[in-house]
Amino acid sequence: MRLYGKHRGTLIYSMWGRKKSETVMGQALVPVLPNLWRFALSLSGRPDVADDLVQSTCLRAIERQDQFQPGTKLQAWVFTICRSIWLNELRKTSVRKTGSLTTVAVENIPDIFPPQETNIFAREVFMKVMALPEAQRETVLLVYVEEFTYREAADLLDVPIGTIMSRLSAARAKLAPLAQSSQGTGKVQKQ
Amino acid sequence: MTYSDDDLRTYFMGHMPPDQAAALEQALHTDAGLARRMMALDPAAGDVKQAFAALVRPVQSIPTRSVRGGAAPIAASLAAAVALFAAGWWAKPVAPTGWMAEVAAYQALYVAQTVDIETNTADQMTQLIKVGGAIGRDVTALQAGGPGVTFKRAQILGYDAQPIAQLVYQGHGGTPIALCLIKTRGAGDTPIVQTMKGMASAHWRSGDHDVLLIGGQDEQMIRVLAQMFQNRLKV
Repeated sequence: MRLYGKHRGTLIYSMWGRKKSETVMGQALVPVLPNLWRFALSLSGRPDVADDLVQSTCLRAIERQDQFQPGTKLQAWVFTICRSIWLNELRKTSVRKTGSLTTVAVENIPDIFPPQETNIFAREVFMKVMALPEAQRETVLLVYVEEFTYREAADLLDVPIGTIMSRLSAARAKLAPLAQSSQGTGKVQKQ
Repeated sequence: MTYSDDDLRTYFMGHMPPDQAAALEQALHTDAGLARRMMALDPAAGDVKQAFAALVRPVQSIPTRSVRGGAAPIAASLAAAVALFAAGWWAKPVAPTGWMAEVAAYQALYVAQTVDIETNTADQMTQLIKVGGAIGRDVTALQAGGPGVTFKRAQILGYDAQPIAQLVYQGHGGTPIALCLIKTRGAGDTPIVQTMKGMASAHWRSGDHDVLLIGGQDEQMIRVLAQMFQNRLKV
């Protein structure tokens, strides 16, 4: 059976060559992917949007790999791309769909943890972090989880170090009751 | 000024007077050692890091056929889309036959000039609605494309009296890339990445349709795009 369509008879030209440097960047991204997905989740608050964000980020990083300066931190460069795509391209669509910038559907949260995970406290901490406002959430992830320094986080988020510190303070205040209840002190920390 | 560990703990508890706290934060601009000490003493950091350490991608959003012993770590699932190591997510290649062989032969005729065309969103949506109606699947979400991949046009092809929805994209460097859907003819859920007619391709089943993504020679790009389109086509 023949394939039929509108463009029969087009002449064949030469094929395109593979770009070895794109393969190198693709391979360099591999160890960063788990971190990138966590960061994408902290930005979007939604695992499905995080998927899209990671894929878009990888495509753009490969496309713009000439802009990466060897010797600098690849993770910071990729995270910057990810955040840019989120702020400039995906954020509006996500807000239109969900009506919210911050929330992860509660029913999805347990699915993100491994089935064998029985650490209830870890799950509660995770839910608390995901309920933070976006700015605090992304800062917490960069500093606490990905261990960026305060300065690196400030540069990546394009804010002063003081803003990083105030966001972390606000996040700590929200997380403190969890830590105290897990220790059984019952104390209320001064806000 | 030198800060003791107790000073830093006082800061973390929110008990440091505002002017002293401001001075400490100012010191962070120039004192990397102080920053390191603070990060080590932050009472919330350890709990948060531990909570996120075991995070995995939701099982329903990634292929589970190749998962061994439960939900796969994010690194294995996502890395397989970008790197070329076998995590079991990509099935073994098969020789293209039938509709895929014909589409590959057709796609091999495409050149950069074929997709270097002016389009507008209204016409594109009209085309997408039409081709979607022909195959019984809403494909309007595929108009979005992605970074470096721009949707150009959609048309209906045919094979063995079955309509094929062909969506054409302009990829990086002007590379023509096609995404084709046909009522399922037995493809598996697990995407197969291989070379067809000298072009990188990926094919899989999505609901009631088989999907073929083909174009260029960059196999890892095709893997990344395949995951993107797979997510967009979720039923």
